Amino acid sequence: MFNPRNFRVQRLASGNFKGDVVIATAGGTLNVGDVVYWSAAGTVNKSTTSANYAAFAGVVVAGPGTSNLFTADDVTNVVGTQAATVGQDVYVQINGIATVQTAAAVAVNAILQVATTAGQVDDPAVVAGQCVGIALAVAAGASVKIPMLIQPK
Amino acid sequence: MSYRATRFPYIALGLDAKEPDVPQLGGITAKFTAAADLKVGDVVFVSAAQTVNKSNTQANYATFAGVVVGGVSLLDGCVVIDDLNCIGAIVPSGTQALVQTSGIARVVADAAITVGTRISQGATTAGRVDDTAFTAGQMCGIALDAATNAGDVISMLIQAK
Repeated sequence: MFNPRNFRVQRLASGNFKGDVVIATAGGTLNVGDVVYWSAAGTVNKSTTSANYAAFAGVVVAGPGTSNLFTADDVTNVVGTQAATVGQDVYVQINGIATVQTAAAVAVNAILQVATTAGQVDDPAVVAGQCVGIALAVAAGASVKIPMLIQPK
Repeated sequence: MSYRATRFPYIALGLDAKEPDVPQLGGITAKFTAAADLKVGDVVFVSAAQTVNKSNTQANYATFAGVVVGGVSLLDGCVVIDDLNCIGAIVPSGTQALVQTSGIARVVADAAITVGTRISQGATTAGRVDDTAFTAGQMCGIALDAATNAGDVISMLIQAK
């Protein structure tokens, strides 16, 4: 049992990243920066099917592949490297701001979804219920790392 | 730099969760650049890279960011969420605004509001909320208090939808 802690306002790290994380089971090989959805009980996975993200979970930030350490601001260039393989525990950031990778060019302040590349974000026509967040920077093409305000809706 | 996630089971908003009269306010904040003069209590949207603004056009709130609760250079970087006298304090254009992106915050009504309704930007004053027709993707939160008049300060559960 726990006593809830008093908690007024918490500020993100100086780099404006981080948030709450949960530990889930990887439903496949997942990389740091992947946006993932709940695919089974306690399990997250990624997909190219945007509809799966109606059960959006968050952004992979760590796993055994990173020694369970996460690098939200990615100064050590960890985003895109393997975090976990199927069946392993993976850390998923569920709110705040996280670094993700783009599947194509993305406009700043665009509403992001998953489209052509599993786990990576794009800004196609908005489909309510499948959006994962808001781009806080522009991306000129695929595999660009950008900060995303996690905001499923 | 690498970080290890801290254990963080449950949290209670408010000064003291054991006192029912204490306002249940608070949440997570992030820094954004203010695109214009913003006020504490304004609802804001992402308008450019790491930048937020306000508008009296509800459609802009498709990229809702949160509620302005302070500024890095305002009040020594303190947030002001339960002091009604601080609602309306200016966060100058070009400075860093502290924007609350989750939890419960104080906002200002743009008109009368029914408690329990979904609210978003009002049509009259930029940064203020109203309970006009629900538009998917543009809502900012749920009114936890009623407002009788424009300018009333109410609590909002931040919940973009």
